[in-house]
Amino acid sequence: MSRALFSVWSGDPVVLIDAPPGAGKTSLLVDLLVELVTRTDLQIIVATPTRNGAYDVAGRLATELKAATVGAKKQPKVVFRVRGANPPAGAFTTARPSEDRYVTVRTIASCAAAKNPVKCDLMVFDEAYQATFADVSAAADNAAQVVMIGDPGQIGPVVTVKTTMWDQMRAAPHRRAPEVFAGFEDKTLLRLGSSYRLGQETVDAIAPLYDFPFDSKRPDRHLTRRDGTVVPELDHVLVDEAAQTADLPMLRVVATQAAAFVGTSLHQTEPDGTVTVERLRERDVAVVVPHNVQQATVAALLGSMGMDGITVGTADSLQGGQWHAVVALDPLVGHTSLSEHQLAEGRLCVMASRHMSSLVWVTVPDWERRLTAYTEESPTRVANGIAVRRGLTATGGR
Amino acid sequence: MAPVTGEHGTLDPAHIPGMTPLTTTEQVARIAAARRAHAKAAGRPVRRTRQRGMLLSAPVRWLLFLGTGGKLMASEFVSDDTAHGKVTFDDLTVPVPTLTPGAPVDFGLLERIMTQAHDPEAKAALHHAETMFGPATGVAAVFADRASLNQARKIAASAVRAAKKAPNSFEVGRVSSILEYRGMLAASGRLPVLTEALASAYWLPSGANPDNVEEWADSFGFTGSTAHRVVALLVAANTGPVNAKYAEALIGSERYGTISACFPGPASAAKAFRHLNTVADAAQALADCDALLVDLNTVTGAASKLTLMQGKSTAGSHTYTVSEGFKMKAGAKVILFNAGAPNIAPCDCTIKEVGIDPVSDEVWVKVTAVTDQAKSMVIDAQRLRHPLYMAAAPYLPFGAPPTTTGRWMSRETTRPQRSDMPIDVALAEAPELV
Ligand SMILES: Nc1ncnc2c1ncn2[C@@H]1O[C@H](COP(=O)(O)OP(=O)(O)OP(=O)(O)O)[C@@H](O)[C@H]1O
Ligand SMILES: [Mg+2]
Repeated sequence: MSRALFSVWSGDPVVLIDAPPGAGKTSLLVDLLVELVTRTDLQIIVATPTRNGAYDVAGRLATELKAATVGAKKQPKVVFRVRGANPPAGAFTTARPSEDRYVTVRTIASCAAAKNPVKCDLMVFDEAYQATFADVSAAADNAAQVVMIGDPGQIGPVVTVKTTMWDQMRAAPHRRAPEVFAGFEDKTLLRLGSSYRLGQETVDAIAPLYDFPFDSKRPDRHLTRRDGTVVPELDHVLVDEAAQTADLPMLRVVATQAAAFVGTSLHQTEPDGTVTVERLRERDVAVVVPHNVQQATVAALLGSMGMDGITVGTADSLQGGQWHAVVALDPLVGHTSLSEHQLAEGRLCVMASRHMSSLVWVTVPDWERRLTAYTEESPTRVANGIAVRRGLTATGGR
Repeated sequence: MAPVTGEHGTLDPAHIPGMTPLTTTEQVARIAAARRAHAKAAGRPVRRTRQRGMLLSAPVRWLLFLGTGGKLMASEFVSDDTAHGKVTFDDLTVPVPTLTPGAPVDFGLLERIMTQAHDPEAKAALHHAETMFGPATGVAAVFADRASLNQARKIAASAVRAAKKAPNSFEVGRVSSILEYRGMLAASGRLPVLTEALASAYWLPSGANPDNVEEWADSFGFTGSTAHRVVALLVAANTGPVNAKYAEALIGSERYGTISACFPGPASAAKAFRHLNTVADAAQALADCDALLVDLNTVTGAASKLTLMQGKSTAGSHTYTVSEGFKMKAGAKVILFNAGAPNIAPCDCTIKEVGIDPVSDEVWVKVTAVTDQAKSMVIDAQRLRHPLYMAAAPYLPFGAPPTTTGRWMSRETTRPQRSDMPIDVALAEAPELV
């Protein structure tokens, strides 16, 4: 963090920070902003690819800013500017530019679409690999400095149009933003090397997706069931091979698995060695699915079980989030002929890395056979897909 | 579905034909095949969309097609007083102008046509089918099929290679850029592809080739001169209402995007890319709320059929069960449309809540209709027992793009001046991170 703060304070125009899931990218962003908001008068905007991401950052930033400025006469504000959404606890919808010290959190799309490009001294992007160069460059058009934080292994931008005209271009509009900015002359590259969210088992499982090594520095923590048994870090459930993507009994399994986490006991070891135990609440649990239609159905199922506090979303929309317990639905479920969507490594990575304590991976018994059929077509993705799933299903199993 | 165990052991249900539920792609293919079979039985193409298939943003002047031997040819529509008869299709009658014989297209002619079609001064407006060949600023050039568009791209690309350092290289490059950009667009008002416009509006009888203009004309039973047949196809592609809001967003973005695409550099490419996405989103929105595509769209989840739940409506909100495949979230902006009264424009609503009925397992949504237009649509649909449908609301930025400074368009950047660095910050230069 202090290295990033040094770079910003030195006026480095482009600062890029790459790291694996749970390495503390968003934490670094929050810490950096707390320093900058309290010690400088720079005008700062934080921009994220998704609305969920903006909400998450604004909430974390509001909490940390408050903690850092207790007792101060005037507390800096976090302004959450996302159309049609309420701000998280501690954040505001507006500030008075003449009186308040504040930092604004928005989505990249809204910054890029603004009629007058938003002026600021510094623009900080979280999950920057999920955005295109076109969007980020437009969003930051009136920013003097940019910091881009992201994970090269997670989901990239959704590009649904043809791009033939620009495929050979270095600064192509549809490329992932940090890739283009990495080609700038005056840029600073930083990297974080450990995951604080994921345990070693999960780090080992997703390692094949990265070309740099990293380890787990997660403090000891685990869940126990009512009968006292320990919930494994990685567990998996098999559903019917014939299940279609929107199959109700299959999605009911997913919803039930998520609901079963509520009320389990979370044991955490603090840095000073004390152990705390608390019950898992609905908001500590999330369901990550590959398709919108599954998201709608699982949310509806959980709603009717009285569990609407459990987060449900697609991998694309929950990237960057973390929960103690996560149920993830393998993109292979419901598909025997596979396309880009099922083979994508970024999606697999996001789904396998949202949990702080436990993950239940819901898949089909013949997942390996489904993948192997595509070995010739995309050898690396199939090999990595198999390696990661072997890791995810190595222990547990029901 | 449970595996079936018989005397020959366990059978995987995935391998029993007729027992596995179809995937979305398979269901879509089935519907398409059934519609094309229906067209075959009817002996002519049948409507695929209620809306027109071609969105002209200027009157048609040129027809480009592949002649014998794959050579690109151009014919010109000349509006004159000579009577060539009229073409009537559905409710639309259009006089047939003179169509000049096809002339081989060299780069010079291609440049002339593209300059007319994409004259930056010419205003783009949604052009009505009735005045398809009338005078106006700007012209449209229709490609008979995708192959003729690709041939035009080739001619322009080789001219670019030849002109690399010539003084007119910008003009040459511009022609190629217009065509390359067109090649990526989902639809076009200035350079439409006739076969694609027809395939959007109609199901061609099974067996006929949708990439072939002649087969389209034959399957409609259009006879007479080439001019008559082509005009008849253009009229067929142009009949039907259009959702003006989305169509205008599409042609406006095509215009601005094409202008951007003609300039070199990443800043222009970024703008062109953003417009390219708007064109795709607008084309998607047009398809999502088409009254005749609703059954296909409910299969893919692009649209959902709404059935009012009795006794659950309040002043500003209504609760409906939704068709299978529904995929939207609480908080999502949606459009409601009445497939039984397709001339009424869709209106904007918001999803308040999503749930599932514990008894019937049906997914329901609660939507709030904010505008008066939305409220009356809901009430009318109820009264007339028309089916209401819902689709995701597109995000369509409209009009000229914001002016940008191009701050990040060069690899060389300027460093902002920052105030004096405190000592604790300065000490951090010793890197703690790799
Ligand atoms: N330096 C650190 N020491 C201890 N814990 C940390 C540290 N940095 C982050 N954490 C913890 O690790 C968890 C993950 O952090 P964070 O969400 O910032 O990671 P991330 O890299 O942004 O993840 P993602 O890839 O999902 O976006 C958080 O619970 C955070 O409190
Ligand atoms: Mg993060």
